[in-house]
Amino acid sequence: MYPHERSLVKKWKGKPFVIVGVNSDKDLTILRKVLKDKDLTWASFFDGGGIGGPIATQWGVRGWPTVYVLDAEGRIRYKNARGKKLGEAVDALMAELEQKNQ
Amino acid sequence: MRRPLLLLSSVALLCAGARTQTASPRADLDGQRAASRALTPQAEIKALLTEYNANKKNYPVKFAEFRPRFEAFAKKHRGSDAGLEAELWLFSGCWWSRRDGTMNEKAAVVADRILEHYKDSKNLGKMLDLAYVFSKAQKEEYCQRILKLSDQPGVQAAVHLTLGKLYQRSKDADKRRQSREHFVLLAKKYPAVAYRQTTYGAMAESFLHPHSEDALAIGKLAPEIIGTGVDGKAMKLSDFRGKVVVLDFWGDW
Repeated sequence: MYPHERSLVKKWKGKPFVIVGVNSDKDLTILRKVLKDKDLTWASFFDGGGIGGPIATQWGVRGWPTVYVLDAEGRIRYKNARGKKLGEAVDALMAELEQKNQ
Repeated sequence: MRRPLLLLSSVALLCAGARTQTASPRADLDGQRAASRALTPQAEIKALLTEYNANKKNYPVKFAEFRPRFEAFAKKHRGSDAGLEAELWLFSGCWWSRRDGTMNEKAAVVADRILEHYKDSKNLGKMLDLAYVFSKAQKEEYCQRILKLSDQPGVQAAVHLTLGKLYQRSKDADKRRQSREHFVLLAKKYPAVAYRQTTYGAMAESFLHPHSEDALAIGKLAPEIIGTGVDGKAMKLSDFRGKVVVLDFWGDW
């Protein structure tokens, strides 16, 4: 999924768009190295060091990755849009936001 | 190159401590032996685990390859924390025999050995964190056995978390009620006990107060998340209000 995330970050650089991760890796030290080596720049919550951490449990996440797309007001607008559909979902919400801000 | 990490540290120790030695093969061998003696069991198991985790390919094959070394280590350091680490690795590796139907059987052999030699360990609960190699019946059986064997808070808490999760989504309302009782007890008695890099209290709360399907429906305001970032700084989801957010539950595996 990284290439797709990277292209989203690149496409919307300087615009009101972010990826917010909830990370379920075991080891924070190893994870930090991965973030650095693979140049993953977006913010992530660290969810307790494993699959089924408190955030994922509360959100009922049972498969990884699970993706929600939220609009600028913080409303859930898309669930599990992947690949091309994720790109389209972001496009739609960014267009909506731009229109609102005009 | 079978043991590159160990060799590297041996060489480092040789350079640091044995400069005056002649570089005969015999001296090298002695130096290496001394160096591997100098490594603490904890450092040795850590190096072994790092070596095993070094590349992500072909875990079943890698497991078979590393198994004799972990077994030898577990035997040599039986009763110590490092020995338990090795046993836990062997326990989790039973997962690779799930396809031939012997996973539960093999898990029971390692689990029995762990209970025999580590019943007083404060880390005994770690076994339950790997209990995916058990059948449901085994999970319950071993939880009950551990509950009787150990009165360590961390171990008791691990049992309650496992039993709580076991019947959390059961069709039987009575089992679901029992599951809830385990989480209530966990939140009440062991809230501050460490679990992985969080606490049993936080785990129990997340099971006791999950977001409803309705709360996570399209059109609803996303529930707040308050937590710590991978950079160690406090962060919350609402910090990103005003921006379009892709909320991505992910892991690097």
